[in-house]
Amino acid sequence: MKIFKVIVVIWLIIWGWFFLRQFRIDEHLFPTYKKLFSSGNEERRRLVFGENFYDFMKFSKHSIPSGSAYEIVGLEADSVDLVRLVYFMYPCLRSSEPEYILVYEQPGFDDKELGFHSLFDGKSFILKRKN
Amino acid sequence: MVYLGALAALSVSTLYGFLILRSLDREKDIFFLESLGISYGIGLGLVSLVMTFMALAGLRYSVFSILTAALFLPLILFFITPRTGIKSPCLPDKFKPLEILFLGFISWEVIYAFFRCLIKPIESYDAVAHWAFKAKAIYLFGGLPLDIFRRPIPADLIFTADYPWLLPFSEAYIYNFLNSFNDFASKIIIPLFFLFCIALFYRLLKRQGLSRLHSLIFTFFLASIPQFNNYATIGYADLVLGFYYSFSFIYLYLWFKNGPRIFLLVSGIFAALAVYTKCEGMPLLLVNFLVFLMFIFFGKSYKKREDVKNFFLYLSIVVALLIPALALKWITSAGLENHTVNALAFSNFQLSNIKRIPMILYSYQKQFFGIKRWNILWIIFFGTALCRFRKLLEGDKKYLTIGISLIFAGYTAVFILSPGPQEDLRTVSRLFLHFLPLIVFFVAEFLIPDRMKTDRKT
Repeated sequence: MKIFKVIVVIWLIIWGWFFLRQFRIDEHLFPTYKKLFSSGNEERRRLVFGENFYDFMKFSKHSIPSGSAYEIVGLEADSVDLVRLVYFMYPCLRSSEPEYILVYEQPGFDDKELGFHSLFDGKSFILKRKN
Repeated sequence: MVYLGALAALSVSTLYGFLILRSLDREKDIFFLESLGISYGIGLGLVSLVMTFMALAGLRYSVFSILTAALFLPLILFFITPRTGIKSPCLPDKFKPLEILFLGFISWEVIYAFFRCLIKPIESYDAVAHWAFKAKAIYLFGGLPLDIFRRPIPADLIFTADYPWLLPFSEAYIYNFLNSFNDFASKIIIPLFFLFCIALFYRLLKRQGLSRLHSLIFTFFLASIPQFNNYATIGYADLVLGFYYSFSFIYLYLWFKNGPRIFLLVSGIFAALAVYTKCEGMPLLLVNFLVFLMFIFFGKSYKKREDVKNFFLYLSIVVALLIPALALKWITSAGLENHTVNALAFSNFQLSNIKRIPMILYSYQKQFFGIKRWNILWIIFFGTALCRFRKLLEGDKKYLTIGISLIFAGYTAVFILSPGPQEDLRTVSRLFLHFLPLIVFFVAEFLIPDRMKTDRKT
């Protein structure tokens, strides 16, 4: 059973080492945990998704009617941000024939078929298909 | 407050699971701590089963309709089976300092997992794209329309149209219970699976005759594996599958070792619920069947006829539970066969795919030596297998060895058959979670000599 004792000791050392190491590698981890713990759910979402991006998602959801079709410009295909946005916006649907275009941090984006709908900030805004 | 609501919802489903378990456990073979873990798993399975039937019948979901329909089965079982009561929990002997220390370590791991889980919303890729999204859609639809994937719905969901529904149903059940959409609340499902996994695992090690200290140490090993612990916090279904499948196999193994009949029933129920959880549950279920057949044909049992009967009982439980789930899957994903990620992955099989084996093995060894994710578990596992080489295929223990070998062979075959891009092999670390408790159980079974185990009735 000596070998078992050795295994337990090695396991504990590695366990403790990697646990402490995560806080050394990422110095923001502990303050982030502290901040998340003391925040409300809304603030937690802002911290996790990124403050600007979460505010943009909220702005978009409130700016277009529920159930309408939209497309997003400015997020990479298959990125986690895209998935989060599509999930957050539901029941608004991402579509290849959108009524609205959500433009995120692409100040130069323009399309002649689209008109301005609403402004989030200097770089992000929503366009609407012209009737 | 929402967490209390979610806990209330899960308490009700666990109570239903408890009623079913009590009705099935006529000989009072299941201990109290064990019954909590099993009841949690059965309870959520029952809710999913009921929501499956309601979807097939075109009924809308509400907390009243789900809970009323779900009460049907426990009530029937409760009235047609004799009352047995609970095996009362006996007070444990005084804990020794070392036992308290490991109990403290385990508690820390559980608390830390709950903490990390609950301070964040559902935000990881698969947790959002595959599970939470469907749960939100179900809640907002007020049910699961059978043509859900033909309605205007984000194209992203169609890729996973043939994925099982247990986790989305469980999350949607909580939204219905709370009567509001809150993905902080529904996220609590997974760390609770983690908690009950830990409790059940400890109890099963004790059943195997391990001392309390040894049981606590191996339970701590399982709880402190970073990969396992992390997956309790991010909303993925892999830990849930790990719970259902690993315990379905362990209970089957304990039943082979002359365990009571309730073990066979729990194993059958959990094996079916593994298929309810993730597609990988199906090949894993096949492993259980193969090992069972080996037990019948190559085991030393003197009750072959009874074993065959029990095999058909096992098969019947699994088939009866799976029929509604498979029907729902076929109906909802009909016509989308060429669009789902599984179909696309398997459509490209060629004999030359065999060439991928070195690449697959390379990705395996990266896990085996990945101390950051797995601590030294895999090193201990292979070391134990090497040191106890002669015992690997001895007695009833051979079923553990054969089961784990079949799982590895099965997953390797899947990687050969589905020649996606090389990046697909990144999921190897996740797939290993599906049978991780079984690996730790194997190490405990072979590493601790039989002479140090008390002779307990399993």
